[in-house]
Amino acid sequence: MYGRYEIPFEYSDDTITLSITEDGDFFRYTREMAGGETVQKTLLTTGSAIVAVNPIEPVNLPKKVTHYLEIEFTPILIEPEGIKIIYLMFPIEIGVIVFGNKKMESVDIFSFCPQKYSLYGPSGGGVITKYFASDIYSSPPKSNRYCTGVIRLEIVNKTPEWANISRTVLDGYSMKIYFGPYVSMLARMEILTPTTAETEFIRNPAASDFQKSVEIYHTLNIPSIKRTYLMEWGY
Amino acid sequence: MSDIFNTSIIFKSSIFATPVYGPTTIGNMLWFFIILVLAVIIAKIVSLNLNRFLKDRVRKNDLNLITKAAYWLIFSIGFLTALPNLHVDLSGILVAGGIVGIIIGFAAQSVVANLISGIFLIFEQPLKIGDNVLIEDTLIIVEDIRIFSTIGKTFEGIYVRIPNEKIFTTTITNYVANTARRFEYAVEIRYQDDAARAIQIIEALIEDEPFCLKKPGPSVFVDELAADGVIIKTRIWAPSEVWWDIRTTMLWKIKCALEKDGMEIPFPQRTIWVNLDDGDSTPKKTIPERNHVAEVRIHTCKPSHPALEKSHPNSITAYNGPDESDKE
Repeated sequence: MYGRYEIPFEYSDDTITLSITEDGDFFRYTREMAGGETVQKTLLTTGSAIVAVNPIEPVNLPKKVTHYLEIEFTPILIEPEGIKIIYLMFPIEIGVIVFGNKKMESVDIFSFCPQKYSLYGPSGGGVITKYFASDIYSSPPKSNRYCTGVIRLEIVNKTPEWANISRTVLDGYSMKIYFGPYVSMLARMEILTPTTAETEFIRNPAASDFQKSVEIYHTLNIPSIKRTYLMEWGY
Repeated sequence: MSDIFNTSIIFKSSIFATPVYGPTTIGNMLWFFIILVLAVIIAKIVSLNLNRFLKDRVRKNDLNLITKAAYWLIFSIGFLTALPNLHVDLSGILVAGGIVGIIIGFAAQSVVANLISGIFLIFEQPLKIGDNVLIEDTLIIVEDIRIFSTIGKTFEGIYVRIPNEKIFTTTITNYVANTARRFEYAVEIRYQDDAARAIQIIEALIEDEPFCLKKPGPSVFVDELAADGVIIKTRIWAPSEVWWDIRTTMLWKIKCALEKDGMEIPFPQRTIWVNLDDGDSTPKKTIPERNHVAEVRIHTCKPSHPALEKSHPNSITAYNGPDESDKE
């Protein structure tokens, strides 16, 4: 399903049917899910548009209320000034993005994964996060590439104490998602103090045969400035 | 270059050099207005472009403040630049301004109070545009925070203007200032229903709803053994942005799920104790059948009705309202 298509196009498997068909002067986008959900939209384009179907930042469904992703896992202890790599799962949202005249717009976003939200921090100043509970793996686990992705998280404990970690919060505005045999992200989490940590994404694919997903959360790319998220309410 | 030269010649002509009052000529006044108009045009262009550039980057409230500040800053610079053309002594204005300020302060006390309150509100930000707030008894959605007043709209779509002084000095309840908020339901089930099972069902429903927050977690518990049934309290946290939608949909989902499992919301009911024999000291407890609750409710409307006393002690007659004998 993932990839770029010239319109009109049609994709179908056991779980989903995606199509953009010509309907008179219009193009009609249709998505039919196995559960019965059907979405239809009309596109007004000359027909030169390209459609990309790929995993996008998983913070949009069922309604956009945040741009943070929180992954909770079984608590782990990391030694003082230690560096360790773990693998976690994250939920996938699939975006159908149309390109025309060098501009892009998401036509549809859907997911095969259940959605859940949480609050990171106090209700007064914290942030709403898209929540996902994952197991911890020492190597990339097998995953359904239409439902869950794999995040390689490098944990760096910069404190002189053991750190107990049970979650990571990541900012959707700097997410770099790649797809290939599975969907992957690479991130880094630095433990700064006993209550704060900093997370950031690494702009690299898990392997050379992975393709970069189209990002729908854009920021100004200033090379010398890293976009990080400071987890100030514990980890 | 020649145009500028020609323009300067025009301004040096005798008409423009004629003094109007004191040393100020018509040319000076023209320059004053030209600079002022230019300042207004530049201020408009800058504020419009700022608005376009920052629209998706800055909160609407801050965006308004920034564009207004930019507009008035450019206008003030233009005004101060233009003022020497009128040969105005700024130091004199400052002294006069002080005196005028005192007079205006007394004369327009409430206006000044509103202005100062407005400035403080902008800095303190107890409410933002789009917030759902209760100011005294008025529940509004804030649409604009102006320098003298705050404009809002009630849920019925009625325009409300509240002076800033009132907002600054009164209690404000902002329903969406915090990221998340909690709401609760009291769900009542019958005594014969399994409360533990009901809690399980409600918890599963909450787990399935994406916007019922995982943390802080929901709280579902038996809160009260009430007169007619067991009250299960359900407390749920939701993002402030969507809490009303969740609050309005979850209760019906809970009701439907409980009913699907065979549980019912109880009707008001009474347990009646009847003496079978005069000599029997241990009265028999009669629990109304589920399907006859409504009937029993009619029977117990007026237990001391004379008709009951006249009839057999064990029989119960329906009370159908006052009859002729009542009137006697």
